Amino acid sequence: MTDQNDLVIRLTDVSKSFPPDVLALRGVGMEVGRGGFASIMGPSGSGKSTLLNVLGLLDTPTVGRYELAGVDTLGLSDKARTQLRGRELGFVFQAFHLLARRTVFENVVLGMSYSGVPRDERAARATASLDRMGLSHRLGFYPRTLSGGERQRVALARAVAGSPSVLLADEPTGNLDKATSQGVLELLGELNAEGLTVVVVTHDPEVASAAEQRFVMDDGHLRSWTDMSFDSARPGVIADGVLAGQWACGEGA
Amino acid sequence: MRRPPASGRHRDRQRKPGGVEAVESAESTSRRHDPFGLRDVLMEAVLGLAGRPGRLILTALVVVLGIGALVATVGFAQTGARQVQARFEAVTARHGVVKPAQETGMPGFVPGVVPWDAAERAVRLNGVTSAGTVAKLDSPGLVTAGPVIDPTAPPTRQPLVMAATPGLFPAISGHIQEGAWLDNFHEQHAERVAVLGARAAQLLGVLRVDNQPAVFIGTTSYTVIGIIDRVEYVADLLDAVIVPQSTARTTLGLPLPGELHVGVDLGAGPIIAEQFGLQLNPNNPQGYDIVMPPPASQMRQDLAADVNSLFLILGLVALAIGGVTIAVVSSMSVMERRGEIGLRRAIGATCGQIAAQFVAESAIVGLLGALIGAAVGGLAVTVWSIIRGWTPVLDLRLAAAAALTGVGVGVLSGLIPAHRAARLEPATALQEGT
Ligand SMILES: Nc1ncnc2c1ncn2[C@@H]1O[C@H](COP(=O)(O)OP(=O)(O)OP(=O)(O)O)[C@@H](O)[C@H]1O
Ligand SMILES: [Mg+2]
Repeated sequence: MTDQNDLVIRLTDVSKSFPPDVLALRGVGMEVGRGGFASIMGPSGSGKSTLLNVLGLLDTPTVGRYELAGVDTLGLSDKARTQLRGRELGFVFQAFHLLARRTVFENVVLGMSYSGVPRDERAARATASLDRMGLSHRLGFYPRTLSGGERQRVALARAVAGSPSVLLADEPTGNLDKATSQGVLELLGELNAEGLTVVVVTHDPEVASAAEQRFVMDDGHLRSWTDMSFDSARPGVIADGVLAGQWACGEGA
Repeated sequence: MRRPPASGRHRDRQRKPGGVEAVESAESTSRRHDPFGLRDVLMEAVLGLAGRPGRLILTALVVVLGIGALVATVGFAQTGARQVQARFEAVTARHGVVKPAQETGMPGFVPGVVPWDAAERAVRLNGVTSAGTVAKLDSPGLVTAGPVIDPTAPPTRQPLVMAATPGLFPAISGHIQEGAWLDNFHEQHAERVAVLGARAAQLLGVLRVDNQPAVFIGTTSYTVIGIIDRVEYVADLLDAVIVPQSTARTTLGLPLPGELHVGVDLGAGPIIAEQFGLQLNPNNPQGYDIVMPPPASQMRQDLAADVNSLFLILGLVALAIGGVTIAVVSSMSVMERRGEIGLRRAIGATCGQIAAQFVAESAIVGLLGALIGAAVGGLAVTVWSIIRGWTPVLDLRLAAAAALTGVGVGVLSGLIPAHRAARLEPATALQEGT
């Protein structure tokens, strides 16, 4: 479905092992087009976070090839990888990872300070990005005074303020209740609609089904469910029909 | 299917061609590029420290102690040295003495004689501010405080008897405890008056002079007009009954005026020394031992601050402990801030930038501790000097050196934690540090 030239993420036969003998990824292949929306589900310990770390250049594959935005990341120096990461990628984590002693606004500005966004643009971008997440009234607040959903929206604002190519989200709704998750999910959808490539790891079938490309991780193997037809109006289908028997995904759902 | 027409911020991106050009165009979309530089590192370091004030105070305090001790030690030494120098300039640098030369055995050499009017001759020279002669009498007779001599009494310790002219007192920077020193009237009229050295006064039981007490040398009485308690030269004076030179000459048989002391202007010593012999005796100018203060420029060099090495070592030890404290606390901080470190890596911080931030934090702690320490040390020196009535010497270079030392200690002790922080795997740091 995607034009070969328009791939943002191209993972070829990637394996990742941890000493002494954990094989977290086994020959994973994955392609996500520019503006795509991919979800990865799978049981705990199956390698989802490991995969996302590889995609995020936070970790290097033991074997295999990874091209990000047309750049072959193999053999890049740590500095070059870091710069590529800062420029092309935005992150959202289950644990938010907001700096407790910085305000909401400062957290978002910090997100742009390493990636070379011109100094005089940062404040305006941060404000716009927080505004985009519906947080204009929280600029001077400290994270501890915010609700979980608000914190995750701050993290989201920080992730996209620098206009990355790809947003990587590792269980972004893992710490949120259902209603709040829905809000975050909608934001992800909107960002994607505006052209941002999104890869999300989730335990929540509802989140997963919102994606146009759906992957399942199983003991280091990545399988695509893209070809299966899901009714996005009835996300329960995934849990009920296809995957329910394989594992319990109670945490997220 | 569920993608509406692209709008907003990400529109450019969607049009971006794939492949290598994508990266280039990503760079060219924002032509200006502000890298994370030293300014940002320092800013982040300051914010990082400010967020943990308790820890900052604790670590800086140890550096304060170390630097404070060092600055105070050096400050005390410099102040003390300045004090010695000031005293030296006030006294030593303004004093000269002339004696008959020792017999050298050289053919044609005749030892000079200090003439009776040596003091008057001396003050005629430019640069001589005061002059006076002083001599010790060899066997003046028994000195007593009263006229009645009891021959059966056991011999008590006897004070010395000395002869002096009025100009001697200023020349040797004497200090009157009571009454007055000999004056020109006493000298001109060979008055039978005496000034007592403080110890001689004690020996003779003379405590005050307002009731005109008398001392006897032999059977002649002398009215005590003053007691002196301090002299910079001719310390024997404090043990002596001092009578005018003329009196000693006429009534006590003083054979010669002894030695001549002169007060001179600062720096005038060398020129006076050249002229002095001629002034005293044009026929035998070589016959004198003339000791005059060296030129002022030479004197300062001889004065080096005598630093108390014990305090210096204590300061260095405290400083070393300060460094270790920074290293330990900062290492703990790295462990605690793994999440933050991981996050920074994720948003594009290189390991060098992470390391730089931790080094900068330690350096700032060191600098802060050093500045406060220098202030505390300087204050200690000032208070101490004021108490002793001295002029505190506070060298600005010392403050600069303290600041540099503080930064140095901070950087050194920040290296290990910085290395640890930089080596954290971003993925691990993000996972463990939540
Ligand atoms: N740094 C590491 N060192 C050793 N083993 C690791 C490391 N990181 C992950 N693993 C192992 O790799 C496997 C995959 O871990 P990963 O975190 O990717 O799972 P996950 O799918 O994200 O699980 P969860 O849903 O619980 O987050 C696990 O067996 C895990 O123990
Ligand atoms: Mg995980």
